[in-house]
Amino acid sequence: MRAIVNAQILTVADGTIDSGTVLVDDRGKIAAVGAQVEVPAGAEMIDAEGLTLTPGLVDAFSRLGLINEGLGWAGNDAEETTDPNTAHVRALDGIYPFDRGIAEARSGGVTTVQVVPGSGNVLAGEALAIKLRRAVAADDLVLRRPTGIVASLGEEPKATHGGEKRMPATRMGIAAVLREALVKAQEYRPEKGRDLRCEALLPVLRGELPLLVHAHRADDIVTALRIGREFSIRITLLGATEGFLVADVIAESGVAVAAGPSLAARDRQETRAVGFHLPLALHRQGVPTAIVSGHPELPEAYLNIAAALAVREGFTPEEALRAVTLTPAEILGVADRVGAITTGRDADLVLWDGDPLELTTRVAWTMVEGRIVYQDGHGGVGCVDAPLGPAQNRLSTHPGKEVGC
Amino acid sequence: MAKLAITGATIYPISSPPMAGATLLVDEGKILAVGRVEVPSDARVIDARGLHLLPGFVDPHTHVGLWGEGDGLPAYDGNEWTANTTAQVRALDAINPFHVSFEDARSAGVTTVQTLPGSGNPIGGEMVVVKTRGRTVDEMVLRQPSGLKGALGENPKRLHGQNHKRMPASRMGVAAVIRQYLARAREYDPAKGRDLGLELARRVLDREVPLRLHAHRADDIMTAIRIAREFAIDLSIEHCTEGWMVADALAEAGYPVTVGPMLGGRSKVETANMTFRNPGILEKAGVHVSLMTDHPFVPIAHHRIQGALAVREGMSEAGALRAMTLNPAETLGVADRVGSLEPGKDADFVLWSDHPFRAKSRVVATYIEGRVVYGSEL
Repeated sequence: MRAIVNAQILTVADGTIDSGTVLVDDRGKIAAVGAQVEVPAGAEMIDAEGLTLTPGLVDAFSRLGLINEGLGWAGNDAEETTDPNTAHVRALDGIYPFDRGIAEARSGGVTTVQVVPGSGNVLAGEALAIKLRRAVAADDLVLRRPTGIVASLGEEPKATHGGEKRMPATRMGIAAVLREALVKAQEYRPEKGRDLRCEALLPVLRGELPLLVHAHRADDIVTALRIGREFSIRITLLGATEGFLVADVIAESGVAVAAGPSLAARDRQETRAVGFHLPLALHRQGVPTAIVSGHPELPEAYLNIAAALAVREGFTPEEALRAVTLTPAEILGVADRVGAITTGRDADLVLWDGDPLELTTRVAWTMVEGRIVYQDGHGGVGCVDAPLGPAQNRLSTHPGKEVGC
Repeated sequence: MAKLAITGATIYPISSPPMAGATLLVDEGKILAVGRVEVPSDARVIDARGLHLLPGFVDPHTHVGLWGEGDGLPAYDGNEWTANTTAQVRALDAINPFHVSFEDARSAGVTTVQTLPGSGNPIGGEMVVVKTRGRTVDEMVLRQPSGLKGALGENPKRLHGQNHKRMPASRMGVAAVIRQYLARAREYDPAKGRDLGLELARRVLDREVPLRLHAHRADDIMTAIRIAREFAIDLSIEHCTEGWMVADALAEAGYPVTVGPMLGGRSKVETANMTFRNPGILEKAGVHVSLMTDHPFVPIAHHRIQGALAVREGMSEAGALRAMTLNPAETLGVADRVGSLEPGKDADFVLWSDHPFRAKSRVVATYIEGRVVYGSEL
């Protein structure tokens, strides 16, 4: 048993405790939370006086582990660009647990991430939710798999495939490729020969998994909702840069949005309107809205900075923190496990040396399932001596350079 | 234009320590006085109590107005990739003053930028320093040319060697192309026929303007220094991503460095060792450090966030502010005009709702030469 005592606790689900205790049991679960919690004899005590405890941050939209930091082409496995329909590929098979981005994400207080392939294919493959445990195999990171099948509308499939002189070269073509794939899956008969592309779409057609649709322009968003209605399938929107123009339509449809990244360059026509007015507009319409990194567009480790800028735009601090914890956990279907500090949830916790929504606040430590996976001064953002992986090993042998990790 | 007195703010002159409740006095677009000064009876007074007043930020490495972000190829003018040596091209001729990136800059308190050609060519072209407000680029110019852009490392290899099957295809080739160009410039005789590219090189050799070399990896940084020494020219090191690994050597060499962009992924192998600790380590080593966004690679609207994160990872707050104001002004050769709040300098300043490194801080108003260019007059 571990007891974190004297912390300001932002539980997300049950308000703020000015000075309280969190008990973590030996299974890595939260055993108790409160201002008046009796600490069992023999519990290991962590004094968090003057520090702030939050749930581990949850990112609903990321390529973490798929696009490896600093490895260039060799380390980029986010897009199987060879066919517009690759619904059968799995993000799990592309995640590199030694990627420095994962170690740095822990240093930014992120503990759960939806890893999403794409976005050059109309159907890009299977997404999953991972925990940032210290592990050497991607299988040991899995929290929930799959969390959805990924689709993309708009500029990127046009550029990826139209540019190669094959369908789709237009938004009309994209919608047609998507409809054809769904119809084919509806008529799929495995006895006539297995087709993994079709099989991947079956849980979507059955309503068990959402189709996670990258859509930025307002008309692409509306197309996603239209196709969702046609096939009676669940949709979750990714990106949705122009969603503020059709926020009421999105709200009426009942879909959730992994909105952004909003701290990002306007690198395409369809993302010219990028900004934190998007999550604010959606949130105000009652749309379940997650603030996301889109890693590596915004590196995963700076998810709290995105939430901080949402506060500047008009979120309350409580709303902004929820948008990077409990709301994305609900969107990913893992809110029974993560997203808040409540009894019975996983002990995924972050201790901050100040306001987690301030630019200069540091993470003191990050815990996943009761284990400290990052401690300030031992790896982390900008830490060139991070503990895992070949690239890091190469760095740590650099002669005579004390960088204080 | 009447005299303008901004009173009551916390003023950060940069060249001297911050002062609470101080006054900035402006006349004819220039700073008349800063500090505990008497407000003249004919001055228009702006009550800025509770606000923070800083010089406009100077971003020394951007593609503001040049990159066409979001507008696609028709608006992209970043790299004249048709040859590996294009010193005859000028960023000045491709800057669109109406591009939204200038509004981004003003809204984020950036009043001076250096805009430069991309890093695809070993010798890329002429750079220019502009104020971030105007209808014609000519009226925005603060210094032109402000340097010659060159690039080491991956980008020229990929663009020329890999994509176009011509030199350079290796780091050896990149250095050779730059040396060949500078060596030809030494022998350049306009009487035998003018060469616009070599004319700029002559100004580099005469140390009128520096060579500004894109260098991420430590060995590229040292190659930049080697070439600068060989030709006895002025140099600034752009990006300097692995500078922390050779901080002592950089301090000894004495060339200014411009660090960034850092708030983004490490998309290239040469950026593998990017870290927000870099500016702090270089500061401690005694290197002259400036921070850049490389807009659009980090949106210029988030310049202050990079400064705050550099502080979080070890740079002093005063050092980070200096690296966004006076240091880049010095590197760009425009410190007589901008970069600090001192009598005689341009009245380029920004009123912030809080210290710019606080998350919720907003620009209340941005001034260039005494006129509001963003926000509203109080």
